[in-house]
Amino acid sequence: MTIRKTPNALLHGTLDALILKTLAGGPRHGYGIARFIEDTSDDTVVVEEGSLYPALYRLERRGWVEAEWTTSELGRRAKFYRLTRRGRTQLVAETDAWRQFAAGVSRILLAQ
Amino acid sequence: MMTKKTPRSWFWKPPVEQEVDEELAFHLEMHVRDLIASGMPPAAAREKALQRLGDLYRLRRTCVSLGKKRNRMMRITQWIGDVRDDVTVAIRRLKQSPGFTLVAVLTLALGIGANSAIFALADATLLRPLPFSDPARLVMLHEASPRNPAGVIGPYEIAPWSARARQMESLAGINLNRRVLTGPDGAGELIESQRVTARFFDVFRTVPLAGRTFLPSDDRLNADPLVLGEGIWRDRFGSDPGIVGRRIKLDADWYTVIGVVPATFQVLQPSSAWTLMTTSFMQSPAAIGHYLRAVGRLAPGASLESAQAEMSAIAAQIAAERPDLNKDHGVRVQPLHDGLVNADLRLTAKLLLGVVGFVLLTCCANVANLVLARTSGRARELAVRSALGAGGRRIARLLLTESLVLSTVAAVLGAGLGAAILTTAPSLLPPGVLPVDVSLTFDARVLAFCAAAGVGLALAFGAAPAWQAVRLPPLQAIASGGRTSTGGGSKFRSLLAIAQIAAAVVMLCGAGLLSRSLVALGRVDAGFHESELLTMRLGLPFVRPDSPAGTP
Repeated sequence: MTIRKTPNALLHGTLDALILKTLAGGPRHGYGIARFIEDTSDDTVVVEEGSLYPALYRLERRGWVEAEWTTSELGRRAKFYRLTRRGRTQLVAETDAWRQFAAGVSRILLAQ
Repeated sequence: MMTKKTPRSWFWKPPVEQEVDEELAFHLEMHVRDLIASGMPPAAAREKALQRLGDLYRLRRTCVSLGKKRNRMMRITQWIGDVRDDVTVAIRRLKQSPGFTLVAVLTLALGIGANSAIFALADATLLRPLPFSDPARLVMLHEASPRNPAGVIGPYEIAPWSARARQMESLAGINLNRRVLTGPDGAGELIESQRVTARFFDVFRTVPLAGRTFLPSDDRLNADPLVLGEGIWRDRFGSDPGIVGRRIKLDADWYTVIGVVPATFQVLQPSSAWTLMTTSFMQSPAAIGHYLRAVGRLAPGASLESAQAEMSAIAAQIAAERPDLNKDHGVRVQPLHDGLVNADLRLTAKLLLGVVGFVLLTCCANVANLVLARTSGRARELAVRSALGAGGRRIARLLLTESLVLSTVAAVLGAGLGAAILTTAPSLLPPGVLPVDVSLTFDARVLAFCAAAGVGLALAFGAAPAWQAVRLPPLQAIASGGRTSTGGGSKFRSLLAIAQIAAAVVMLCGAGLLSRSLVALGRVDAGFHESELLTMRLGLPFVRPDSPAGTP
């Protein structure tokens, strides 16, 4: 089953958490982040470029990720994002918030 | 996925527009490559990837705007970090030369402390408005006679003045006196009091803490009304909430308390109680002396000049009506602030301000010289920093930061010193030097003065060495090896020294003349032997012959 999500359909703040989680595994460029999220979610979550890149710039401004131009697998330089220490703290907080939220929604939707 | 890190790429920071373009182009290329790898024809793959990207123009614009915001934020963060680094370095450097730091900080602190105390005086006497409602509209009225241009007025004049003066909203006469208050415990106490006409509190728009102030109708009351000051209400009557209506005794007369006014309300002299001067008294044949001070509030639309013109006309009328009392008498209208804070005190404040300003300048020149000497001694260190890539501006900033750290510490100490002077000085001054309407307090304005003085000083004594650092070519500095200072610097330092000595000589002369006058004043022959004389003031209750003392 493939659910195509429009940018607005992703719950507010969830994309930030997904990006932070992706970067927890190591630095990636924007395309790599999108592919990782799609692959890991078996294509149930599709990240639109129109929301991915603005989100990355916002995260940079907040100091949760930092960017660096490094040579990529194509042999040319690309912008790689990396989680900062503050980003790691934020990821923990977002994960907790998600766990509570998901549990709450589940209690309602899956009630017998 | 990250493969190789080269030093060049590490430092590569493109402009935001280029950054966004390159990033999106890279994304597109990667996507197309993956689609082709999965078996799609190149043209279709490109088509699909572009479609996924959506409105490319809009995305680019959003990212560029967000990127610019990010850069601004980063610049601020970086600036704060730089300042923190500079301050840390400055503190470390100052700690390395404790002697210099101690001398510089103490010199500046003394200068700032003395200046803040005098500033408080100048602020209170020259700048701060009086603590009354709309104080700019308040005036003092003097009776000008051939003998005295700023004399007192007669009670019989208050009624015609009030009735005829259209340019005055209200006016009142004040008679300063001392009375013996018999407290609730029966003990007598000499208190300062004022006998005022009915509109007195209206002139100042005083809001009572309890009860009310005088009304024109109080003239016709049988009981003598009295308004009590907050201080005596608290000290002698234990803040009695039922004070209004209570009867108290001043000298041999009984009064009824009708209200309490705040302790901050003081006019001309400290006063604990106000009694009413009735119209019938003012019109009695007994009220022909001149002993009242008069205050008034200008009517809306009236100016000092229009009030002066009108009062002069009224004075001429009264002089014509009562040639026996007021022949050739005029009236002078003066802003109340000028009337209360006399010209001597203003001049003293200005003079003191000038003197301590000189002291501050000397302190500044002293420290500037110290800092300059120190900077010259550091030429080698600065040259090395410069050779390591620190620009002239960076080094200048480092030196200025040191100056700012020095003067900040000095400003804090100086503020403490100023506060100490202000708390002890009033008790050292003889009473009467400062008017009651002027209070010396260490408030936010004085604190702001200290802060401004600190920053100003830092710029003043930090500018010279910083400027030298910007100018100094590093090679020359290394060659000179810190053993000699540059020619320009030493010329500047001798100029500073000359200015310093000149200022010190001026101040010494002034101080010498002042103390000589003081000594001479002590030797003035009063015409009698002062050494065995005592002076005292006795308060005897004034008892009317026709009313037995102690009865209401």
